[in-house]
Amino acid sequence: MMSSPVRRALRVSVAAFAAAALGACAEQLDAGSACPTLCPGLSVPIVDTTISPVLAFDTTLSGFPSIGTEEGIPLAARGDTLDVRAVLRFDTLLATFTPPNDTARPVTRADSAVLRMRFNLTQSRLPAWVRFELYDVDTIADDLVPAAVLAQFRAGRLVAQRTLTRAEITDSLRFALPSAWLLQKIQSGARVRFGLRLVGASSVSLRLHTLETGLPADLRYYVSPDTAVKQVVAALQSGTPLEPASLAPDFRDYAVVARNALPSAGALAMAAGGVPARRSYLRFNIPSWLLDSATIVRATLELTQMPSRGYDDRDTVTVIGQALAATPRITDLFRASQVLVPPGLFVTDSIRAAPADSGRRTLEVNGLLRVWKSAPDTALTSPQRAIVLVQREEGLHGAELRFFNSRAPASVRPRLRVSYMPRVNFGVP
Amino acid sequence: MRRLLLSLLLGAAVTAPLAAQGALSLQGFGYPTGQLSTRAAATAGAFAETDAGSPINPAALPGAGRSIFAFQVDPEYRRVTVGGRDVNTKTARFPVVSVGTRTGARGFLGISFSSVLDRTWDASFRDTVVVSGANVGSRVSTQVRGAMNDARVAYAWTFSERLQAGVAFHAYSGANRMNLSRTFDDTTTYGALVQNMTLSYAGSSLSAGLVSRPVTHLYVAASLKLGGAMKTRYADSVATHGNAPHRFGLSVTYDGIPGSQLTARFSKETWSRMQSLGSSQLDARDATDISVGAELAGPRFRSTTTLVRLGGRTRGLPFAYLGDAVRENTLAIGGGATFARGWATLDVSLQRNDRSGGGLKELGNILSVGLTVRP
Repeated sequence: MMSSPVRRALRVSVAAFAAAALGACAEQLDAGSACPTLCPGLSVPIVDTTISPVLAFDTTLSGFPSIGTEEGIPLAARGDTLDVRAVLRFDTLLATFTPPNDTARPVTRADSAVLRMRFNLTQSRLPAWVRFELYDVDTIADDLVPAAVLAQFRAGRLVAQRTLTRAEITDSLRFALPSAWLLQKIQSGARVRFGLRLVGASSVSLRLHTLETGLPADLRYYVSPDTAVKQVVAALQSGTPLEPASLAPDFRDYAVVARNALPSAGALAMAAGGVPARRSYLRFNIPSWLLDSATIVRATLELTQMPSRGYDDRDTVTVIGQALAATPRITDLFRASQVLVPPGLFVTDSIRAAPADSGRRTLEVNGLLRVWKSAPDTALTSPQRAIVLVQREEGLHGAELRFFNSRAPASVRPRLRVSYMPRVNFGVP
Repeated sequence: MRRLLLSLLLGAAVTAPLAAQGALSLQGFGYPTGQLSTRAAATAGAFAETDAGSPINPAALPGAGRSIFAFQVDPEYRRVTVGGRDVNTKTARFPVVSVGTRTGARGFLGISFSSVLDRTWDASFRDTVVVSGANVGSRVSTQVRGAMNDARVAYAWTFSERLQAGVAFHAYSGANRMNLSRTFDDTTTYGALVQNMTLSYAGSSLSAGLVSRPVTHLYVAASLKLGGAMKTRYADSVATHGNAPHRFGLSVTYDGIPGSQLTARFSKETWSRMQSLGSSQLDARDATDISVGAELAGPRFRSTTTLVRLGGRTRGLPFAYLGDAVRENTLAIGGGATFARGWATLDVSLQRNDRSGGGLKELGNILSVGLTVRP
C-alpha cells in the first residue's frame, strides 16, 4: 500500500499532466495566414514540357456502333454521297386470337394496319417533300450480309409509300399498310420485315427512334370488327440470326448503309464520326520518367484538325476521348475499341468542331495519366495505354472530324503537353 | 491550496487563450527549445548549468540525489502578426525526458532524450501559379512534423563537496516528416500535387562540465560542448553535411540568502556551424544567451514544500529571417512542489517570449509542466 502522501502526490501529478496534455493535444498548427512570407523552403517548381511523338501508333477503325445498337437510325438520302436505310423486323405475329368469353380462333382479318414510327428531328434536313417507302425485305440470306437486304429495296417489294410535305413531318408517323398483304403474312406464318427508305425533293436526313432510344416502332392492326376485341400491337422481334442467337435482339431494328461516298481519311489522318462511324485508336508511348518520377499537374493531348469537305462540313459535331478498359489480352483493336471506360472519366473534356474546320484541338488527359501511372504497362491485367476518339453522336451523323495522325509531319502530329512537378527532395531549409 | 493550484493549472492548460505566433521562431531547422527542464525554464534558463534535469551540464547530475526520472510537456501558444492580421497557433512539445542513478558513492550515470530544434508547423494558404502559361488558383497545404533530437549519455563524478565534474556523449537523431500538397481550383483539368518527404538527422557531440563551490554560498558551473559532424538524409541518401554547434556556458549561483538561490548565466552557441547543413537560403547565426533567475522557498503546506521561481533572458535565435537576426526576450515564472517526503516534485512554469526580426513580431507563451520522481 502506498502511503497517503504518495497517493496525494500521484493524484496531483496525474491531474496536472492531464491538464497539460489536454492543452497540448489540441494542437492548432496552421499558420497559413503568415505564408508564404514565413513559410520558405517548401516551394517546388512546376515544369512544362511537350512530348512528341507521344503515340506508339494510331489507326482508324470503321463499323461503329455494331449492328442494332445505334441510338437511333440516321435515315438519309443525300444524293450520291450518303444513303442510309432502316430495317424493322416483326418476325412473330400471332396467327390466332381469343375474343372475350370465347375460344381461340385463327386470324382472318388484319384491318386498319399501321406501322407507327417516331422520329428525332434534331439535325434533320428536310426538303419540300419527303417520300417514305416501305419495302418487304424478308430474305433467307445471311443477316450479316447487308447487300442481300439492300437487294430487296426494289419496286417489286414495295409494300407502301407515303409522301409528306416538310410541314407535315412531325415526330410521329403512322404508316398505313395493305391489310391483304399483312393478312397473307400472318396466315402463312411468314416474317414481316420492313425496309424503310427516304426519297426527297433534295437531300433528306432524319433520325428514326429505335429500341435503344426507348421509342421503337410498332405494328398495329385489328383482327375483328368486334369492338370488344382489342387492337393488336406487335412489338419488334427478330428470330435470326440463329447462331449466335444472342445477336438476334440487335436485329430487331437496325441501319443499313446503302452508300457512303465520303472518301477515307487518308494515310496522314485519323477520323471519328460518319455512318457507319469511324473511331480513332491512339496507343500512347509515355516516357517512363514522366509516370514514374513526376507528379503530373496537367496533361493535354494536342491534335491538329485536318479539314474535311463534302458532307455536312459546316455542322458542329462533338468528338470525345474515351480511355480503354481493355487489357493487352484483347489484341483485336476493333474489339478493344469497344471495351471502354465511361465517357467523361479520365478524359474530361471534348472537341466541338465542324468537319471543315482546321487548327489545334485539345483533350485534357491528366486523369488518364494518373491511372496509367498506377498500372504498370507490362501487366496483362492493366488497361491498354490507349484512347479512342469517338463522335458523341456516333452513328447518327454523317459528318466526321479528321486529325493528323502520327505519320504526319512533326508540326501537326499528335503531341502531349505536360505540366509536372519533378520528384525532388525538399524540406532542407 | 492544492486544489486551488490544481484548478489554476487546469485552467491555464486547457482554456487559457495564451497567444502565440507562427513562424519567426521556426525559421531554418526550427525552434531551439533550450533543452530546459521545467525547473530551469521557470528561471528563463538561468539554472540550466546546475539543474540535473536539464541535459546541459553533465556535472550537474549528482544534484538529483539518489536517482532521477523526469519528463515534461510544453505546449506553446503563439501569435504572429503579419500584415495587420494575427495568426494564432498551438504546438505541443515533449522536450526533455531524463533518467539517472547514482553509481557508487561518487558517480552518477544519466541518460536523457531532448529536442534541440523543434520544427513542427502546418500552413495552408492560397497561391496562384503558372501552369502551361495560365495563372491557376490553388491552395497549398504544408505539414512539417518532428525535431532534431539529442540523446545524451552522461557520467558525473563528485570529487568533493566543492567540485563535481562530468562528461557526456550526445547523439543527434530525429527527423522532419514533411507533406506538401497543392490542390487547384479547377480539379477537372489540374491534378492535385502531393509529395511526402522525410529529412532525418544524424550527428554527435561531446560535452564536459563542472560545478564547483570555490567559496561559501557561491557556486560556479560551466560546460562546454564540442559539436561533431552532422548530416541530413533523405531515406538512404545523404542530403547535406555540416557540423553540430559548439556551446559554452557559464553560470554563477549565490545561495547566501536562506531558502533562495540567485543565478546568472551566460551561454554562447555557434549555430553557424550548421550553415552547410541547410540550403543556400539558410542563414544560421551564432547566438548568445544571457539569463538571470532566482528560486525562492515558498509557503509550506503541511508536509509539502513549495518553491517559487522567476527569471529573465535575452538570446538570439539561430536562424535569421530576411537577413535579420531573430531575438527572443523571455520573462518566466513558475513554481514547484515536493510531495511524498521528497519522493516526487511537480514543477510548473510559464514563459513569455517576445521575438522580433525582419520587421515582424511574435509572441510565444510556453507552459511547461514537469514531473520529477526520485525513487
